[in-house]
This record gives sequence, structure tokens and C-alpha cells, in this order.
Amino acid sequence: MQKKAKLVQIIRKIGAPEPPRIKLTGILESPEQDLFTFSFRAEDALCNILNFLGDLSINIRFLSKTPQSDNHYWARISTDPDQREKVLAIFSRREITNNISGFTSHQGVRIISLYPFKGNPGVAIHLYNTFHSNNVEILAISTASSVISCVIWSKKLPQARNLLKSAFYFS
Amino acid sequence: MSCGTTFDKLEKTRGMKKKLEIFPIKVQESLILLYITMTEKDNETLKRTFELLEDNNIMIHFLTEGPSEGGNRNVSLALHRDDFEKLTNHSGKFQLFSKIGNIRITKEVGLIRILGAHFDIRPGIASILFNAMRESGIEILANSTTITSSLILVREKHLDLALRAIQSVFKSPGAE
Repeated sequence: MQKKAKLVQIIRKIGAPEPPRIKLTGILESPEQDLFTFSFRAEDALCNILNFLGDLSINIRFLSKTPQSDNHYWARISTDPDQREKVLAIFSRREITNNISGFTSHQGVRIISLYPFKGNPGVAIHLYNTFHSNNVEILAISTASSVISCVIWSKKLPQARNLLKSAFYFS
Repeated sequence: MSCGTTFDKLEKTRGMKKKLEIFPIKVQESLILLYITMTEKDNETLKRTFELLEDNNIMIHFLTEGPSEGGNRNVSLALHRDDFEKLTNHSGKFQLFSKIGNIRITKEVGLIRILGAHFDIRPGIASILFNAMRESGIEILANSTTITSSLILVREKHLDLALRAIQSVFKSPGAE
């Protein structure tokens, strides 16, 4: 019975007209970036890293903090590649290495953003499916008040841009 | 530099004479924070989560996704309490979430939106914000900062304190 219902649902989906494309205003692309990922437990660790970056006048284009479990977080920070040596030197400092783990760096990435997002899950699913079905690896996702941003490899940017232009309707 | 740096000290060291002006701060209460850990090859969980939200016209108030330990990925998602209850009260609709082994839920969460600080071109602004929150004893549950805006999730009981901390470092219309 359940199988039959599922079959009917699938047939209905196949027969259904294609949903209208979601209307968006634009795509934003960042300059080339480096993405640094690490986990930490005490907030001091993240504050210290942000302090050192600020002291060295290093811009942050993308920052996210995500809980892993109680008092255990992951952070992702993107910075300009011309600051790479300084950033890596910060992450090599003993007071930093002692308080973070799982450090990884992705060099040569871009942030591609779609707007307006406005919390619409349809935009998120369409973005995710479009990239995923075309082998554009999403390294990180983050939302702002009206923008959804993805970190992708720079070499995939032209393909990603074209895919988004086909997947969404831009006014 | 210790994490206990005050804004006054930062003003001196970074030459900032006055508080940065930002747009009015927006606050959203009554949110639920879901955080999910997925394996690297799990392509379905996030897709099905988005589908579930779209099918039920549920707004995403906050979303971050990225690499975590052991090659896994983790996702933070904030939904309104009423929307979350709508999902959990209808049998079957919550099956997706119940099938995900590593899912944690934090209730009574508030979202603060800071807009206009230009985090991307003003080095040290994120540091000032995070230090102000830390010095006030506020745990930032999750954060997403891109270009001009920062979304901060805190426990609802910390909302007033968090707003005061933010207003101590940014000048927002309507705030003293």
C-alpha cells in the first residue's frame, strides 16, 4: 500500500510542470581568498586569532562559527592570499596551536553569493542541487540577512557562475 | 594580546576615535538552533532538509555549513520555534531529523543582525565584536559574518546583555 502511494507520488512528480525559476537580483563574487578551518573550545582561542588578524590589518571576508557539541566549536575564516604568510604565522603561534585543533587551509577559493536570499529554502536547495549535480564542491555555506554565500574553488568559478545564471532567473 | 582587550584599548591601538555607525540592529526571538554532523559523502541530508523546509514554507533564519572533524561536515540551522513545532507535530515530517543520528537542538535562541559594519574592509571589527561579547560573558552559539553583516545567535536570556555589548562598540540609531 505504502509502495503504491510512493509510486503515485513519483508519477505525479514526473508529470508535474516544472516549477518557475526563482527570481533573484544578482550574484556577488569575491576576489581570490584563502579559507582556514579549525576547532576550538574556549572563546579565547577565536578572540586571540581575531585580535592578531586585526593587529596586522588583515581583512576577513568570511567568518563563521558553528557549534559541534557543548563548548566545542568550528570556525572558518577567509582572508586575502597576499596575507597568507602572516595568517599562517598567526596559526603557528604556540598560544594559538595549543588551543585549536583540526586546522586546515584551502588556498585559491572564492566566495560566490546570491541575493536576495531572505531565508528562502528554495534558493538554498536550488543552489545546493545545482552545484552538487555538476561537481562544484561547496567548501562552506553561510547566510547573511539577504545573501547566501558559498565558498568554492577558484578554478570552478566560471562554471559555477554559468550554472547559477541558468538555474535562477536574474532581473 | 590577551582576549580581554577592551574597546578603549583597541581605540588607541587601532586609531579608532569613535564608535562605528551601523544600521538599526534587528533581533529575532523564539528560534531553535539545530546542529547536524554529516559524513563527507552524505549528500542527501542537507538536500532533504532544504526540501522539507521548502515543502512546508519554512523560513531559514540562519545557516552555516562547512568542514568539521574527521572529514565530516557540520550544519547550523536556525528556524522559528512555531515552524519547528509544526514539523515535529506532524507525524512523518520529522522523520528526516529523527533519522539523522548526530543532531543536537538548542531551544530559546535569539538572533541579532548587525548590518553596515563592513567587516570585509575594516580589519579588527570582528575582533572588537567578539571581544565585546566575550567580556560581557555572552556565549555566541553560532555566527555568520560576510561583507557588511554579522548574524549572531545567542541564548534568549542573553539577548539584552548582548545588545548592550554591541551598542558599546557600535553606534546604532535609536541606541544611546
